[in-house]
Amino acid sequence: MTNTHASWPIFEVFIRPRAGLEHKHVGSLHAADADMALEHARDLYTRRLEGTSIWVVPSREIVASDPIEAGALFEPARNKAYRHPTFFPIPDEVKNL
Amino acid sequence: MSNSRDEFVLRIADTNLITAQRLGEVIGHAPEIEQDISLANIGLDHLERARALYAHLAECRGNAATEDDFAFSRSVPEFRNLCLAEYPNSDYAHLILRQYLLDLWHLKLFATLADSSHHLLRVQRQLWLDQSAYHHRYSCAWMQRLAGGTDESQSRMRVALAHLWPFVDEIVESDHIERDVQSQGIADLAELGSSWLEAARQALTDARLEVPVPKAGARPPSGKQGNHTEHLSQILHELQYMRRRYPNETW
Repeated sequence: MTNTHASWPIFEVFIRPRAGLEHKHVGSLHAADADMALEHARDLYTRRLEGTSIWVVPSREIVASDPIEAGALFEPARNKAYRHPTFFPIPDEVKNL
Repeated sequence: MSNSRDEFVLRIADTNLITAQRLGEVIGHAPEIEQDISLANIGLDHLERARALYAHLAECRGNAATEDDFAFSRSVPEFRNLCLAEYPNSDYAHLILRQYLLDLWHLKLFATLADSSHHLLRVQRQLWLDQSAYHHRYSCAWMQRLAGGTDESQSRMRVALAHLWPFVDEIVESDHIERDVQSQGIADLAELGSSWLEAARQALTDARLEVPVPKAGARPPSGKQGNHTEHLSQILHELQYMRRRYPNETW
């Protein structure tokens, strides 16, 4: 068997570990289309019962920030410690915050 | 195997072991790494089934028999797998079509175990159905892709179908073992062969593959009765090499 197709698009994979939690990015894979991407994601990323739900997104559909603009985007948030909600006691019952 | 009940279990176990071995052969050689892992996962499901059934048969046999005795210490005529499962991985079209036909057969077979009088089969049924539903989804999607793909993939699928279709006979034809199994309430096999054949024909036709008309005369062997193609001895040679070369070795 030889590699005859070098250009399957890349998909990003998001897995929800348990009901109630958010989907988390776990990696990427190659697939010819979305259906195949879901199957590959199931085979690659849920082999050890990691998930209850899978999202796949074509990588080309993701709009990413430009590293060159990192200063303009993120520096202004520095030195604004008051934005962290560290002044409130968190009730013990809250598991995921 | 002395009775129909164990013989029936052995047929399922052997078909799954040989299928697992064929899928194991492509680890590291599948067209893409994603398929490599998918096929390995599917192979492991088949291996897991074979092990559970061999362990059960070993327990029935007693005399300190183990699952390994079934996998590693039997010769070609003692195997009861479908000859279809032996067919080599000539190319990806052959692998996918063989897998598709076997996945569909397993789906239909496990469905017949709903009220089985055989405890192990009844208990495992739901898990195996879930596994097969996924296997079938995977192989059917690839069968359709290749059949509806490029000129080359279509022609490879036509060649694969011409090679594999003659093996439907052993699946469709029932024998006294299956009639015993039916009468003992182990599996409801009355419609299995015909419903498998109808579903396979329909799916292949929908994928615009022309199902060949069987040639009169030459008939392939029936693996269920221990008659095999020459491919099984090649598989067993590889599968049993370590055990034969180093008998009773442990590691």
